[in-house]
Amino acid sequence: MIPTDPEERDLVAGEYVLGVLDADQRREVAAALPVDAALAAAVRWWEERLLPLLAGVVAVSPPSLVWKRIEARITPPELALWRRAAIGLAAIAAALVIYIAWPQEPRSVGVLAAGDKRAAFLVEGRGSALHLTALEPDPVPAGRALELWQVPPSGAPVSLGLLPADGRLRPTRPTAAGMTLAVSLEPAGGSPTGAPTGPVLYVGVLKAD
Amino acid sequence: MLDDLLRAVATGDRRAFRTLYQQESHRLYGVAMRMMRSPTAASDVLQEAFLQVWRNADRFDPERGSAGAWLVSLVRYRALDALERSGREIPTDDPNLGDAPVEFDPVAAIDGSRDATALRRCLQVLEDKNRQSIVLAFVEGLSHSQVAQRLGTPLGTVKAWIRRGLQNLKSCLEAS
Repeated sequence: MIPTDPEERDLVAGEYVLGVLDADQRREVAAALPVDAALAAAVRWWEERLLPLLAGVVAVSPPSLVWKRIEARITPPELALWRRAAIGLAAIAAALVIYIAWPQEPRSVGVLAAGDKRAAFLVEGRGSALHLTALEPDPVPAGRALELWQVPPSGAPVSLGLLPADGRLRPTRPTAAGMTLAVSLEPAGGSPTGAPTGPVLYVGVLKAD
Repeated sequence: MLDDLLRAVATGDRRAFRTLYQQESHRLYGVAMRMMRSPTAASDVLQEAFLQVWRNADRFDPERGSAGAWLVSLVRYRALDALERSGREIPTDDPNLGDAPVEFDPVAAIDGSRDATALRRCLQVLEDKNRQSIVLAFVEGLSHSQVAQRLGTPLGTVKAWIRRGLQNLKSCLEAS
């Protein structure tokens, strides 16, 4: 119950701002804020008045990963994909593209790079098989999976399958030199929609070997 | 300035959002670190808070409060959510709990603006135990039971100290 007595209400607001209410009371106050103008004003009063207490808290640089994750979450998947693809292409041009001499069959090779140009996977295509070797990928959070996509010059990305732990992937469609590939972070089992739903982590282009 | 940035963010301006992040994330991450005591947990809190800024920037009303307080409050409430999920109501044996205030004195660190000076003066006239409980809760994110554990005082007593402290603080601030 949110108290109706103004003094009691101000106290509950103060306890809410301090963060000392128990979980149920806290939820109750949070739920009442949008509809109880007096309570909301009391909460804002405390927020404002106690703020200077935090002036002495030392500012700390957050890890750069935080902004990357935020950016990935606020960018629509399609836009993210194309922007990352552009970054990826520049990275590929600048960074190592490893050509490996294979003895036979049409071959292709490429590097899937992260936004910071770090090479995450080496991709080697041989005939219809695709072999991915982990170079420096980020760890995959528990309960999530990496999904490989072909990004056509126009139209929606096409899933080539999930990245298995051993890196060997038999893609659901044939791959060839010239294709842009991207890896997105998806729920375990892959994108539920058939389009990338999570952030696009790595991008690269297959080149003829 | 901060008001303008938030207004731009409310229209979906990504560049303004990035500027806001660059400008405010260090201070806010410091606040989150203070409460969460772990870079991983503080990073998650910062991320959730900024995503909320992105979605809800239109709810910020400069007529009703400062942008600085709005942003810090978002971070603190997300941190409290996370602390609650990790079971902070359960007393722990963590010997470091709440020891951090030894490193710095938030009351002494309050800067010189008019509101800040009033807060410092009003906190200083509180009884030590009341002031200490309020500072531990607000700055360090300690729950009632954690403050009680830290100060070696029964839970009911700490609840009463904080209520008494808030009451006196409010009358003092309103009179200044």
